[in-house]
Amino acid sequence: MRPLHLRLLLIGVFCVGSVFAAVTQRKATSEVRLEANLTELKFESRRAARQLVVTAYVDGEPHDVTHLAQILSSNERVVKSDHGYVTAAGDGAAALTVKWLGKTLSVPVTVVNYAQPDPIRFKFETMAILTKQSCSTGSCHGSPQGKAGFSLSLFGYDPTIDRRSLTRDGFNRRIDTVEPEESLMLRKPLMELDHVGGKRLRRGETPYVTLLNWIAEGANIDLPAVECDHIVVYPGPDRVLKAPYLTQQLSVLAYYTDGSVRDVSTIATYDTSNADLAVVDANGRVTGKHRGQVAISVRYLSQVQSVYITTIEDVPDFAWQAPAEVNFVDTLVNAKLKQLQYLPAGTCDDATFVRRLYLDLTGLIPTGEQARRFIERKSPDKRSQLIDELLAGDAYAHFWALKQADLMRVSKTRLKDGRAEAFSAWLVEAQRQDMPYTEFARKLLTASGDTRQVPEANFFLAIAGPEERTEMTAQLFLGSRLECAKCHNHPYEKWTMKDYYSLGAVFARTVVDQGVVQMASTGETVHPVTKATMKPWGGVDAPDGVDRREPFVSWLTQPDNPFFARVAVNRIWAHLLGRGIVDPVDDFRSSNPPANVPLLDALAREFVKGGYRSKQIIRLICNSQTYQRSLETTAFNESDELLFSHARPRLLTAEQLKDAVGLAAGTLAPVEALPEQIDRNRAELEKRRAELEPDFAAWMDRAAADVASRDFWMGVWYAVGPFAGANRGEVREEDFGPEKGALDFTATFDGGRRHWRSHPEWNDPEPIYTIDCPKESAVYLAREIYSREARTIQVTARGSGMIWCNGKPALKQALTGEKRISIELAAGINQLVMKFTSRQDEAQFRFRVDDPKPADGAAAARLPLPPQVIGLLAKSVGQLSTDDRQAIHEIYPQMDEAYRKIQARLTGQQQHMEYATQRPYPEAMPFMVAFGQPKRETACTCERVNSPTLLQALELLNGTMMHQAVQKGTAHYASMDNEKLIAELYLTALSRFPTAAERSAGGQFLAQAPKRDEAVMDLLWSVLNTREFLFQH
Amino acid sequence: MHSHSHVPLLRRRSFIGLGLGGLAHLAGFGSLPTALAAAATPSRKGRAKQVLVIFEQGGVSQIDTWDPKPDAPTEHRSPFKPISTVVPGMQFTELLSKTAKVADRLTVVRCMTQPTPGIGDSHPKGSQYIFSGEAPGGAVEMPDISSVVASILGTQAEFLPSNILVPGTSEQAATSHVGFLPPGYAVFKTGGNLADPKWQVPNLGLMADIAPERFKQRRDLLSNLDVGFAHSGNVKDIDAMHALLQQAENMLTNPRTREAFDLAREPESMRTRYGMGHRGQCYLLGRKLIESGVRFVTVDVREPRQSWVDGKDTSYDGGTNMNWDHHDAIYSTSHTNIPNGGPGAGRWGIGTWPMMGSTDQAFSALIEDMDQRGLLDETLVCFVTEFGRTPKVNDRQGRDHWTHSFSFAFAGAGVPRGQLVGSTDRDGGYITSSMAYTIEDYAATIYEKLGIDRTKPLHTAANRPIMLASKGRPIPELFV
Repeated sequence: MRPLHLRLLLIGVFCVGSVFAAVTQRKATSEVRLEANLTELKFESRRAARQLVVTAYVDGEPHDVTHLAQILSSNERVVKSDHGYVTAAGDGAAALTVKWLGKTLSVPVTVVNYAQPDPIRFKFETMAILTKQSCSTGSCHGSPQGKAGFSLSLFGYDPTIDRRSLTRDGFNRRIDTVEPEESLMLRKPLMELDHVGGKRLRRGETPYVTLLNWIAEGANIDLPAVECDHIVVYPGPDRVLKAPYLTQQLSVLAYYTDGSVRDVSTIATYDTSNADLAVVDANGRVTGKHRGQVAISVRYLSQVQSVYITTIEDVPDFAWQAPAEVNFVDTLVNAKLKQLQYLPAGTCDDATFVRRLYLDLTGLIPTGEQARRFIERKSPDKRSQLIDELLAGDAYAHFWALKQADLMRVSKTRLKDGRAEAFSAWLVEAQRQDMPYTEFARKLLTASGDTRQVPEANFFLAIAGPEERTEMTAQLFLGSRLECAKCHNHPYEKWTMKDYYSLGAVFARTVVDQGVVQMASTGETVHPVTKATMKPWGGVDAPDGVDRREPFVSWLTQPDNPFFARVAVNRIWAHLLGRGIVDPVDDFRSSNPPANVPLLDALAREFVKGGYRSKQIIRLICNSQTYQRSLETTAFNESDELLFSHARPRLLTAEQLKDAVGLAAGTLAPVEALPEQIDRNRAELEKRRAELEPDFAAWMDRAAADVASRDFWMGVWYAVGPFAGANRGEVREEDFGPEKGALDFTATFDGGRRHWRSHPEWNDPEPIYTIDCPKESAVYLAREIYSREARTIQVTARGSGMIWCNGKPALKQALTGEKRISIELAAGINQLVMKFTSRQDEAQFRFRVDDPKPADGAAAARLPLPPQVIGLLAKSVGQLSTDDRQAIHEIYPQMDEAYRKIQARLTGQQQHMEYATQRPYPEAMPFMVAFGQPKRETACTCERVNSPTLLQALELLNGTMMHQAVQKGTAHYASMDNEKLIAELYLTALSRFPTAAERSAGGQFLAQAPKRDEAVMDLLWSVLNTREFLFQH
Repeated sequence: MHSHSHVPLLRRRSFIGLGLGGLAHLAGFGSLPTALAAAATPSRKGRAKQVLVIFEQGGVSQIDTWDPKPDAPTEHRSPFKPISTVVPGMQFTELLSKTAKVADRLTVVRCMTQPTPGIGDSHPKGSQYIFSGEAPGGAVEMPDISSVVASILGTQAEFLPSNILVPGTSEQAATSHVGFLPPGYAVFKTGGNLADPKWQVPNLGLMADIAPERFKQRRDLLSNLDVGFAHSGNVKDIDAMHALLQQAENMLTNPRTREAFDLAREPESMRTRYGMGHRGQCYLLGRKLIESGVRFVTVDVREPRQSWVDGKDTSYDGGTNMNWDHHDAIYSTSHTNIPNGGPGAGRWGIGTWPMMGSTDQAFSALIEDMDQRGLLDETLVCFVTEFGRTPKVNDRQGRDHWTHSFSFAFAGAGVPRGQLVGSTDRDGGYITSSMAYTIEDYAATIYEKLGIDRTKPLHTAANRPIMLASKGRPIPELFV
């Protein structure tokens, strides 16, 4: 660092002279060629200006010399140059001559219309300056409340707000067209009057002069229909700065929709992504400070472009050397390292590799046996073999599906009644089959149908509403955080509100109705500022009747989509290397530069070429020397955190750690044991079913007799809805159909669009169930209740709405909250209907009969029949249709406790339920929460917090999970002799053999302990608390 | 001690890019060393170093407590008579007869209001509003004020969490948030019924079957085994974890941790002074934790149905949720469950012991005790509720939610003693004073008292700047 500092200082002092000296020394041997960003200039207005950028090619390498070269005007009355910023001075023709290192370049200039007025344009200049001077940022006047009573739209997203604010509000004192210099909007930022925001304007500089002239000209606030179409930043897309050429002048041209072009270099806003490495001044001049890469982002109105600047400095004694490259990943990573003068680390040993790879591909640590086998294997390509082996396995599919399920918010609270499990299983299957990512995206984003039958349709159930879907889709497949653009244009990116709402339009007609994803015939999104109805994204003009999602997905998945493949491979890279090439992985924007552009591009190309298959990319990366690099650093790479010169230790994720503790303690069986267990249980289940089968007919008779003898029973719950209305009151009043007449569960409503669905899962009277009930809509629930005699029953009911029994209101006033109510039953089958309305998007529901008890006092004698079976059997056996009989036959084995147990075990095994890294939905426990398991509430991977916290330390040292695992695990190890115990423990927990020091420390501890069990437990506890165990390395 | 070992880390160049999140994870909860905390020394204006918030949840009736309305129409008037306090001209109702004697240490603000009707007019939203100081439902879920304070100011007592809720129930899971801050700043809940003689704080002591001596042996073994690996390569997170494990060990083994929570160490007379029920002991623990140096303590208590009063099992029949949500039978002398009643069931009348009786006793004891111990010098005490109750009694003899006007009380940290701020109309329904203050103003007051610079934004993971209590302004009368 230091030499560069000194050099910068010298540059500061001697400025051009020293650079000139430094360069002229090379003059004798160097080939120099001059080039400018323009060959001629035609100014057609008195205010026309251009930023000239002069590049000197020294031995073919481009260097910016705009501020070093001599730039002379042949006629200062026609044209002037101030360090290359060229302005008109009067009508006529002239030439600019550029001189550097004896080379000369000439640019002819003509100026016309100098006498014509060219007023400042509010929309294109005043607005740009308000952004440039930071007036409209979120912490100043752009905050929703404004500041000190003066409010602007954030980053100028809405000029209509700003012109009102400037010219109408604040008693019109902000602008004084009679005495322009007295305007508050000038005096405050000049600090002539108190201004909390500090000095923002200086007399004589372009922003001040422009604002002053705008006011003096009458503060015109016209908003013409013309827009800025795009900007072009020169040079682009990247430049390298190397001493002595450490600056780069930028020029910015704005192209408008009326065909005009203006130089906006002095009114554009410039930002650097890392001010420690390179800075940029208000006029677009970049200065490199330290070795590294930055993005200089250039904003003009809602347009944003970035230029990537790499600053290079020589590291003393640096000599390139690298382990053998395995594939193009190494070639490209090394090229970047070499350019910035870092050395790649060596290759990690087998023990480190086997643990690293298992954790990355399966989420689990290898068993002791797997580690030993790998370490002892002699085959030279054993690492490749292991990669292939793990990619083919079940654990890989489950673990990588978990990462996706995190993003797609698969949780039991959002996806009920088996949906979470089914959606997860679909994600697992996609991973197992290595479904092409294009197909995956298409299936997911165009899913339709019943979420209970089409697992991937749950994507739309988990993520409700066009806005959330917009944000999710953008984050998932475009790698972009579009949510900023919901309320204002994105501060650092070209994402605008227009983009947000056109992506919203794609999903505006995708509705979920009674758990069924379908297309509505209407539904639009409206831009909240312009009030325009948005066309679906991608310029697709989907006619009515066409699923708008289809053309969007086609745009998304075409091979030249700039995001899709890059975002996908970057996610894979980040999972494997601990940091994305673009990082965070969902923050792709031109102002957040990739650490290695060629690498990202090459991986994306490979992904497309290979048919968008993830496993191929994973295989490629895992086989690279880059992936297999060691943690060990040297002076030549220890400061590198971005370029993948060495491995970085990562705290295990919540799921990885929980499973690792279980596997190391021996309380969790290796996942490889599952297939065999599953087969065994499946066979057992079939066997049990077969055993039960002969008794079916007899059981039916018994059950029918049982039901017939009951004095009281309740049938299964049915539900229909939601029925929408204008407001809650209307919804409460209106009868949508089910309130009148006799109940018929085959009836349809709302023009055949809604029908009753049975809900056998609402069977337990104790829990409070949540039913989906959107605001301003109603849902009906109904069931049959049989009573032998007319009687009044006492019921605890929770909900919000009305209750009818046999078509008559059962309550005087609507039910709110939970209450005990009385319902009068007639003899025979009664029909109960409940109507729910909700203030939230869901309603709570509970129905417990307190008296009589459901089994009518003779519970012991009754068969435990589920309501749907009771309802069917009540029709009596003789009348049962084949379908009804079939339905009961399906349920029949479930009546058997042994059968249910085997089934639960089997399901758990199939879903890898015991493994936190493999389960279909997260398990909520303090340990997992402390270690940052996501709640699955947002799509952002940043929801996962992986840096160490004190809570984690407490969980490790003293948490219940750890305590119990260690306690149970002791039995597993205690039977071994000390030497074997220590070897086994290290191999299992850390995938390596213990060192001599560890063997002796552990052995001594065990030998000296008065109670061996406690000592074993303490040793286990200690190893599981070493940082080597807690981190992946 | 141990904590200093990670101070040099902060100077590492590699650390600079981490910004707030980076600092924060090291800080963990309660872990920020004093060296850093000193960087945020309160400004001249701020006099508080600690904050104790008494959050009485459910919507305490202002008319029956801080803001008596003897001239309201008879049918809507509170049966509880106005009484004089030790401050001339300041009256409370007789439900605050003990607090009336310490009124000379309080500023009572009768002009609190929720500016946007409908935002905080439910208990979950209203509670979240109180916890975070921001109207819920904005673009970004805001962290609690207490989490923000912990993240900025760190702790004064390393052996304790810096942000504690006494006792905390499952209800706050939905209303208390750490938002975009690292999870380590989430509030630590003591849980339990503090009147239960067997109550102990969970998770801050060693497991029952791991004796301190054995724990020490384990740690010795661990430090023998945990070598070598730590020194290879780039070790920022690894070093951080090491420091945190040492701090956690301190928390688990330092006797002062247990002592801070050990109510039995208080003399019997002190415990009785606060009231030997759940509420009194919660308030007492609040004082103890402030005394131990905890940065931010929130007391949110409801008397459990099965409780202990004076060490005896006590059952409040019908009381299933003993907060202040008196929609029904507010003046009942026992429970509020009435035939065909509404959502006000499950409580006890406002004048009963488990409600205002215990509150008056505990709050007056707290103020007096803290004053005597000098704790009011640098602790801001706030008595808050999410909204008030309707000036009219409804047809179920209850009072419903009322966001237009309600009362807060403040003490300590330079809050003027014996001051009354704001006034309401004859019925207590609308503010008549020229000033009216919001929950955002309350939040701004806390930040200002602590010397936290509200012009400096916090940043979310997506780097969105978040201003603290951006819509609020500190309540000027609390800074005289």
